[in-house]
Amino acid sequence: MKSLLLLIPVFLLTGCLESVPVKRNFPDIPPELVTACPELQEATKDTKELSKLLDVVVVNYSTYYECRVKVDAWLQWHKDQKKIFEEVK
Amino acid sequence: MWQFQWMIGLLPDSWLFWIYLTILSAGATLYLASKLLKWPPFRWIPMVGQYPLVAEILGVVLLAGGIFLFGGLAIDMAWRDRVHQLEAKIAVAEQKSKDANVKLDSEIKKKNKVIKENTVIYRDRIKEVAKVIDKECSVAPEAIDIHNSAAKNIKSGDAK
Repeated sequence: MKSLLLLIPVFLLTGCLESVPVKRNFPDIPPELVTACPELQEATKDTKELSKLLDVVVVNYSTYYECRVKVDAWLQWHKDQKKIFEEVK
Repeated sequence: MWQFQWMIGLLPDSWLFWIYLTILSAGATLYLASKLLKWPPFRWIPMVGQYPLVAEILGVVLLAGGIFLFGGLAIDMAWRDRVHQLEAKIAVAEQKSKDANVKLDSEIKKKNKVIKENTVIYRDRIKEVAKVIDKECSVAPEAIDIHNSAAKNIKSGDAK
């Protein structure tokens, strides 16, 4: 009869096997960050004027800076979202 | 097994509490009674008094089952409470995440606006001084080739 009583903790411990799923959505990404960086512009082959070449260079510089902003924003986004994610425990 | 859990899930928690408590109490009472049934005058009770072993086994089974169900319910309630707490925290985190995105999006737009404005200024400046720049310098085709190769990140001479 005492051996029957030993079954009680065995039964009780099976209750510890439960797992509770809590759904968590992946954080959204700002729309500005979902587009890829554009290709750099080329100068036309017959360009003779330095001003035209310089114009293309300036446009390419601006493309670089826009892309840099995007990369920096991705780093910032990751930092922010990681911090928010780790706050939930 | 899941059918049993599904049926149990249909009952309100307060009902389950009382059902499990009743099973637990019945088991405890039956087990104690089984001990008393061995002694007079209880053992002279017709029918019941003749089966103390059956009462003892049934009491232990009910007691164990009652403890299992009662403990399960308590754990279930604790987990549900934890889930509610976590869901509340997640809701706050999701809102924070959205706010952070709005702030970041605004910063990106602000920086891009400055870049675009500056680009327009530089290009206007080039137009203004184009004659001065072009007067003393003519670009060799090799320079264009190098520039285009660098822009496309390809070997010089492959640019088309």
